[in-house]
Amino acid sequence: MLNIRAQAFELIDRLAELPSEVSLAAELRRAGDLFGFDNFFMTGLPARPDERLEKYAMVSGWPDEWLSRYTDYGYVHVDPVIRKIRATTMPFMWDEAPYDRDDHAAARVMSESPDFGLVVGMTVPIHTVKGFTAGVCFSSRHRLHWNGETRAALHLIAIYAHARAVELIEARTDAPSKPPVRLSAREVECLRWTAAGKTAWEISVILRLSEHTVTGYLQSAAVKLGAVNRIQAVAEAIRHRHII
Amino acid sequence: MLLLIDCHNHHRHGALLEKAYRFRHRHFVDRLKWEALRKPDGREIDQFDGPDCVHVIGVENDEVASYVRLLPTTRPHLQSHVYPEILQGAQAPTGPGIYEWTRGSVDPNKRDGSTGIDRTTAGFWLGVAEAAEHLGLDGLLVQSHPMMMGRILELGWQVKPLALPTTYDGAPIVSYYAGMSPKTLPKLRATFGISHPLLVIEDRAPAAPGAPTRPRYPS
Repeated sequence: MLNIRAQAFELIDRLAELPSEVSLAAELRRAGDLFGFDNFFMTGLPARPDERLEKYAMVSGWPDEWLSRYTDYGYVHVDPVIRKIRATTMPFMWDEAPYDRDDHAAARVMSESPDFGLVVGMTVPIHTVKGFTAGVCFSSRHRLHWNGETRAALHLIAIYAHARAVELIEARTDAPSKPPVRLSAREVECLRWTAAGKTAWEISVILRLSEHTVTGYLQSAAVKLGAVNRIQAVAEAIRHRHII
Repeated sequence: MLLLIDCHNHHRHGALLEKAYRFRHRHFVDRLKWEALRKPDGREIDQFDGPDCVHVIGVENDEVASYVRLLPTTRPHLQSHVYPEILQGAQAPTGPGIYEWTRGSVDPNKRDGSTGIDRTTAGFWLGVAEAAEHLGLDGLLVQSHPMMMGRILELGWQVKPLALPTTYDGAPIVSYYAGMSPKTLPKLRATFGISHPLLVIEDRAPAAPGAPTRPRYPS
């Protein structure tokens, strides 16, 4: 009898060693035989309705025809599975994703997917510390139902596969080919004091500037670093080694 | 302020620990409905709350804003004595270098749900790692909702599952070991944008009556 737990733990160990997103997709494809899925897909959720899926798709193991259809018709914005990801923290089967009978767009996604080999599926929602939402999906072309142990194993595998994908994507996008962000000496100084826990007012006293000026430096630094607030600006500044 | 309370200073902090027990009751019983922990006096306190356990308490405006309890695994702890069945037959690691991470909680009113990188949440996560470093630990034994496991992994801990996710008392739970690596604290600091230590570790010498306590780090 196949030991699902041991197989899942071994796979998780291997995921940590994989050098690229391509190898991650290949490893997951191979795992399908063991855990009883034919296809998988990992994607971040678009934050706005006008965004396309490509920007967010992380690792794809969907059939090409389904992926292009899903992308071209913007299914990500009407798919009840995607909607449920935002509302829950636990894995669910696709037939547990509710939608109104008169919601024709949602009904269309659900009725078309079996024609592309996605007959039953399970999705694991991911909600990261930084507020990023993603889903890791497994599907089968057979009308099987994974038993509780296999679902638990897929849950763990999804968590680790997502974490590894994020690491690999971050390593790739942090590569030095990206034009470096240039911060002024004053911006760096203000960020450094912010990192040390000082308020804008305290920094204005330390640097003998007006509080307004300090706030301005922190705002311009945040814009350059692509950060939404002061805490994230400091985080990005540390990550890019503008401050220690 | 983020304060570590252990066998060296718990006698000085009776009032704060009282607040912490009430905070735990509000969070775990009133908010999360862990009815097994309900106490008539509103203080969530159990047999593990002794001089050997370590509390990491985030204090804001004199009130508890976040809380974590670390239990030595060389003594009875939750995975050994409360719900060993969540391990589903596996053996959890124990030893002087491993503490069990329990009762982790952040006041939801302090939390910024959209980014999750507010100061209170940052203090909660950094407090655990700084406490583990101070205690010289190799890692922590954890049981939590599987979503938390993903976050702990994301935050630079070396996470090894000990069992598959299951349910305990109706709630999803998974058991794992979170090892500290040289990358753990730098990753946490970079994520939250806090470059300096937050955790206040007081002098071990007993305080003279009325004497102010001296934190290890300037606040």
